[in-house]
Amino acid sequence: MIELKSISKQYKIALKEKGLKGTIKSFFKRKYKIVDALKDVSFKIDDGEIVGYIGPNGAGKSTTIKIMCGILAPTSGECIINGFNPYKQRKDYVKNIGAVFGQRSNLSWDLPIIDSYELLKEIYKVNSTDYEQRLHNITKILGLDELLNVPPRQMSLGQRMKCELAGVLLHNPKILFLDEPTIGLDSTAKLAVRDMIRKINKEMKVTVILTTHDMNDIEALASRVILIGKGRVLYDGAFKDIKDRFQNNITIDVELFEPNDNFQLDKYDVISNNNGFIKLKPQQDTKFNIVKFTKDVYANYNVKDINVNNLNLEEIIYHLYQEYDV
Amino acid sequence: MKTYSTIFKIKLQEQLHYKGSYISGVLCQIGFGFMHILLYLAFFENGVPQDFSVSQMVTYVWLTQAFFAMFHYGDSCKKHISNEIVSGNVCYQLIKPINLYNLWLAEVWFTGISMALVRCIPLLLFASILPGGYGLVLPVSILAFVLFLLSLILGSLLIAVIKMFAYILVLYTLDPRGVFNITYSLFGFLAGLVIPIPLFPSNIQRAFDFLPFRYVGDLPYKIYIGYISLPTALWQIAIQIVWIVSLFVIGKLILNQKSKELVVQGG
Repeated sequence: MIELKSISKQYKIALKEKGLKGTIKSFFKRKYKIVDALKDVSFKIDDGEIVGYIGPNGAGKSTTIKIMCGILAPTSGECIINGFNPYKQRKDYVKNIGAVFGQRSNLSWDLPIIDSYELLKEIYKVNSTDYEQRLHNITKILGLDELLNVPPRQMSLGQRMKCELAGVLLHNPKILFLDEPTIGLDSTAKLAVRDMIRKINKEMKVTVILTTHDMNDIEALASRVILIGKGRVLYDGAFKDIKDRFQNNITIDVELFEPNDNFQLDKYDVISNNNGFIKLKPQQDTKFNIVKFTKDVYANYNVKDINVNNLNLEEIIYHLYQEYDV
Repeated sequence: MKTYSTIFKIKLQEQLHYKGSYISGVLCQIGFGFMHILLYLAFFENGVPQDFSVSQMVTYVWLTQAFFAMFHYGDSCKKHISNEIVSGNVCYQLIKPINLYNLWLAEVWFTGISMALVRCIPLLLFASILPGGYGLVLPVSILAFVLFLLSLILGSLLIAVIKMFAYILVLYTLDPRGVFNITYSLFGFLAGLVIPIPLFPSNIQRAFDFLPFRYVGDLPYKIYIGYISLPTALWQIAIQIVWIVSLFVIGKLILNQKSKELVVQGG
């Protein structure tokens, strides 16, 4: 179980003044600024969950991941993961976790990945029977057989990401931190990686903490999201609730057989009306129901076509960021 | 222990990975060997030194060329570890259950050994079949050969613990260029690679005795050709060990402290 209790992290950042004068001034006397990367962050994650950890750039996602991995000490607060304090007991703690940073690589560039895996096996002191069995399972579940003897430099980005994921599972971690695992991948590779993450979570019972900017990752994988902005937790809960909350932000297009400038519908606002093409929006407290809506509109008008525009996830997140002013 | 033997295996594999680099490395060493031998022969035309015969000189040159990579300051590890620091990839090493100092030291040391190991075989074979006094001769005694091997291994470990300070410095500066330019020149000067140590004034030479650098490369070859007596050799090997242990402890303490306060920047 992961538990963060009012974690704060401050960085000391050298201030750069602008222009030549500023550069010369700061050459002799540098001023520093204290920046709050995290302020009073608390949450709990149970075993077996997949949690999406989202927020705009610079919100503090990576800082939190680094604290949870034990490579950064929080300025204040307490972080306890499976009974360990990650920073203070780093050497014992890290045996139980795995991390994949989407922008970095853990595999030897020139050697077949199986050699990199052998090294990981020795570093994590996995015994040979366990190693063979896990490698067999992982390659079977993730479909990597053909890649084992290929060096990363000959792989596509998607293949390499798969191998990074497999490598981090060899020591059987209980918790997996994935920092933007789908960054830079094409849509097929993204689907494959998502599929892998789902299998890792379901079949190997690994808790997954996932940061990403791709909302489809979240929708496909995470039932729970933690939204962070300006170093604070803004929202923590089911992803479905966020979507429901923005239920009303949809628009509906109605096309009529004959133009009607007086088009009106109870509980709906007309946004535009052009030559028989009408755009509607549900009023504040209307719960949109497609069956009832269709009935109402057909009863009064001669309708050719109806189209409902759901708010897409990027827009939802954009609205959320605006709502919380981050 | 198995962890380190696997790292050694991987470093050895990496050395044989690029055939072109390997072959050109061997050829380059052979070329340099001939150049040095001809250069010294030119000096020797004005009189051969009393304590240093031509065949000793030739053997010394071939040995330095055969094991050149072992004592080479800017090996392939330099790029690899510097990249890890600059790119932030070091965060992967920090979340492994292995001490960062031990891991890097193993990589640096084994890179040196494996580079030399794969290059020395063809070179030694080639040098030993050369006719007419240009070839490598056998060591003066079996004991001398054993001590030669021992001081060779210790010498490569000694330069590895010295190089570790450069990597530790890169953790502070975040840019390897300046650090390696300065430490490389300093090392070359103090190890007698720029001006041979015997050419310095005698009181400055005594100062070199109190520094680790002269115990890196030169000692094993001197033992092999019988330039120094076995008791002296043993004494100098002891000094090698003292330097290795003390630099290892100091380096490890600094890096352990530094890795606690390390901040890997960026997302």
